[in-house]
Amino acid sequence: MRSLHSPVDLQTEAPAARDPDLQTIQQLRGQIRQVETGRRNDDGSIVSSGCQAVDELLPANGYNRGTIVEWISGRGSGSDFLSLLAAKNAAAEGGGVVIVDPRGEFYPPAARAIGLKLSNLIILRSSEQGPVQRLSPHQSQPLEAEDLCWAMDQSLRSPAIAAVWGTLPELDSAHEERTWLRRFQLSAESSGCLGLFNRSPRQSGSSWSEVQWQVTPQPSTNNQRRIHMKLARCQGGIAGQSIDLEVNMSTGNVQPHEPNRSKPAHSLPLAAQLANPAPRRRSARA
Amino acid sequence: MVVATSPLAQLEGVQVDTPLTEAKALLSRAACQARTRQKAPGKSSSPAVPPGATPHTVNPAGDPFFRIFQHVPQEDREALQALACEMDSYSPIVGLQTGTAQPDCIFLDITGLDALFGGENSLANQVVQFCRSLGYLVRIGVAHTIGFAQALAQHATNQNSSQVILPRQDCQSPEISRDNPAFRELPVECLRLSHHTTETLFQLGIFRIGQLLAIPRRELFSRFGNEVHHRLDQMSGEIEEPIQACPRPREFHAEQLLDHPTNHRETIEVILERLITKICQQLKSSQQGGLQWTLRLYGQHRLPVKLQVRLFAPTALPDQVTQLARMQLEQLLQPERNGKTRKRSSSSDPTCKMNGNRRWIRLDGKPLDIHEITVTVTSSVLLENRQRQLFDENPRADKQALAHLINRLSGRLGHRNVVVPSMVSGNQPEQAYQLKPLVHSGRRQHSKTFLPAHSSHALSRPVRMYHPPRPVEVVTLSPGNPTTENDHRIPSARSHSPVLLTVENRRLKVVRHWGPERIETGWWRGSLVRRDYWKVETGSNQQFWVYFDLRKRCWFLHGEF
Repeated sequence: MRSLHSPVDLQTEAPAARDPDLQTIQQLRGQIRQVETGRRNDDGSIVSSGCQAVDELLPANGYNRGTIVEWISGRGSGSDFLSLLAAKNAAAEGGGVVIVDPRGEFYPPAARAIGLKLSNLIILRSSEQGPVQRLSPHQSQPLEAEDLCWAMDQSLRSPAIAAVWGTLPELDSAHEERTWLRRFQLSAESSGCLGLFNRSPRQSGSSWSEVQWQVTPQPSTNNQRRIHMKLARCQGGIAGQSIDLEVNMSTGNVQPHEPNRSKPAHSLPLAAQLANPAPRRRSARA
Repeated sequence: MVVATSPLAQLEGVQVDTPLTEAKALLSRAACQARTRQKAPGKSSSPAVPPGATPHTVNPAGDPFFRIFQHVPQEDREALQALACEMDSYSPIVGLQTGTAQPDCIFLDITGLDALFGGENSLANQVVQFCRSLGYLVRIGVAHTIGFAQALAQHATNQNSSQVILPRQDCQSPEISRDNPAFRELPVECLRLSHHTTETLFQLGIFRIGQLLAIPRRELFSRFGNEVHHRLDQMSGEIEEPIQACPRPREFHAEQLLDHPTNHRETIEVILERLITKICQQLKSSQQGGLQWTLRLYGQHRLPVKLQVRLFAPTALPDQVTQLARMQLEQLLQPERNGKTRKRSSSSDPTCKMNGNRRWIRLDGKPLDIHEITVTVTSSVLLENRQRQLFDENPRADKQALAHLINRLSGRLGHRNVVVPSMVSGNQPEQAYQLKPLVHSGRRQHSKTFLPAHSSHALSRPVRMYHPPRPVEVVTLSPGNPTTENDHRIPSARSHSPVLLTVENRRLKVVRHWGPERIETGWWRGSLVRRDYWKVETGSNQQFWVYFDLRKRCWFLHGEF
């Protein structure tokens, strides 16, 4: 008897036409999917992750609008870049991008370099953080987690917003977190907005996301940053798949890592070569 | 460049047109001296602390005693217009100074009105007191022409007095005016001549109006054309110069007096909704939308509680405004949460509380019995109606939905917490952009777009940057000369790359690094910034942005990639 809980096996099975069990399973999966996504108010368009190889791991060949996508990673691991890349693609056909930035750490020039249009961004942050113009310091208003969750929910509910990007705030209890996450999912479904959330490994308990990535940084080469992405959760897809990505630090291009690919003779830009002077290279060889 | 200063800053040597860098230096020095005086035994108070500025408030220049604000001419003009509108209780004709992009005078036609206020002196006193109650320091000149009145207010020798009133017998005819010593002693700048003409007069050694009057009119005409004569005649009353009254926007106002004061919240909300609906009907009939709404709840023996609803886009839909007004009321009545006082209340009394069931409005633990509620639209514009498309309209292009979202977010989080970024020129990473509130009167102004200097490298700047940068311990290794952990203060960072970081008491080994990238700011930016930035990758393959401050001789963690 074939186990229904091992979706990995399905890929190695014979074609569905020859296997009535598989046909039934696929039919059931389709029905479940229809029930799950019946309320979704998306226009059927798919948002690319920014890398074709990553898209191919997902059942819809990209992210469905009206869903939540999560990246679980530590600091400085490159997940912010990948999630902002998805936000850029989500906003390509119009709509604003809401940035939820409770700690005031989001750096707009970096988002602009990735390709996001700054005039389309709406940043929610505590005004005591960062260079807010025309504000007198004594008028600062620190935001609380509940306010931020409310704001995220309202933004996800708005049809004028293409994506909501941010870090999930620290909530008092796991129950509260579960409740808010469920609300986020329902709000995103009702509007077709894409929720792109970065979570720390500590927060990775409950989730209502359709896709959840675990991001682990890998050793970089000179001008290529390597990132390992594992599909921790994927509704309608196969969890557990992983991919190694290479991000070109100059162009921002993302492509799958190919260990045996030959490198060009002089891949380093001039500035990087100058930064790594010859005496050090000689001493390293010695 | 400094465009206006407080009297206290003037005492420290900051004048109009002083370069900003110089002003910052002067104020920093003054603040240092004030701090020294504070620390000195027996001197607990400092004369350098201006009223209203508390020592814990820090201005953009990092000085706790003085605050520097960006000058926005449009906001100045709007504030002057608002003040002019408030002056209508003193005169039926109120106008702004014309012929300049940045007016700073308000004209009131008080012909025949002095008797109503007990004389010109009394009227001037009342106006001064009124402006003072709004937080403005004003000087008043009263004369028979607007040119003369403006000159008396701005250039009269008796600068210590808040009002200069020309006696009636001195202005009975143009000839008498011209013979008046006060008229003749005025500087030529107050004639409102063009800059070129004023400069030419200075070059000729003519500084006073009396000197001008001594020159035959024919010669003046041949040299300057009609300009000087025209202005002189206007000022003396030979030529009439009417006040151009400010176009008063139509006022949308609704109020309700309650026979029996109440603090029942639902009742108050229903009244608010009714008043807002009434105003929305008025707005719709004139095809206008309200941008800024002011709601006042008048309690007995109290200052009125003021709620302000600011909108991103004008609206005449009562549901939207009522929703936002309810949200404001909710915040006003928000109880203390976890021992922390909510700060976003716009009430004149920030210590508002409400009892547990939130059905009764209470302030300071006492019921707030409201006997009058008013709703006023303080800013309205013409509504833009766009015909919707029948098919295939992208829902994400729905501007109304976007405006509604921004209104709600700004209403709950505070308009200062909902911002839009834009690039500004500058090499210093934290000064390369600015954030502006989305709900703001000047948001429609298009500012110059600056391209960042690092646009060629997509990942040269971190997505997250710390404000302020965090001090970090870094161990460096110069070629052939390994250093110890305590030797992180190095004479030059350029030849030293980081090998070990200590972040939050965790030691992280640096396995790769890129840099240094030298970032320096110009002297005109104020305090000089000289940094060597390194992008480092730790043993766990995380990437951070650190820099060595060449002035402070220490390392900082500035961001994460």
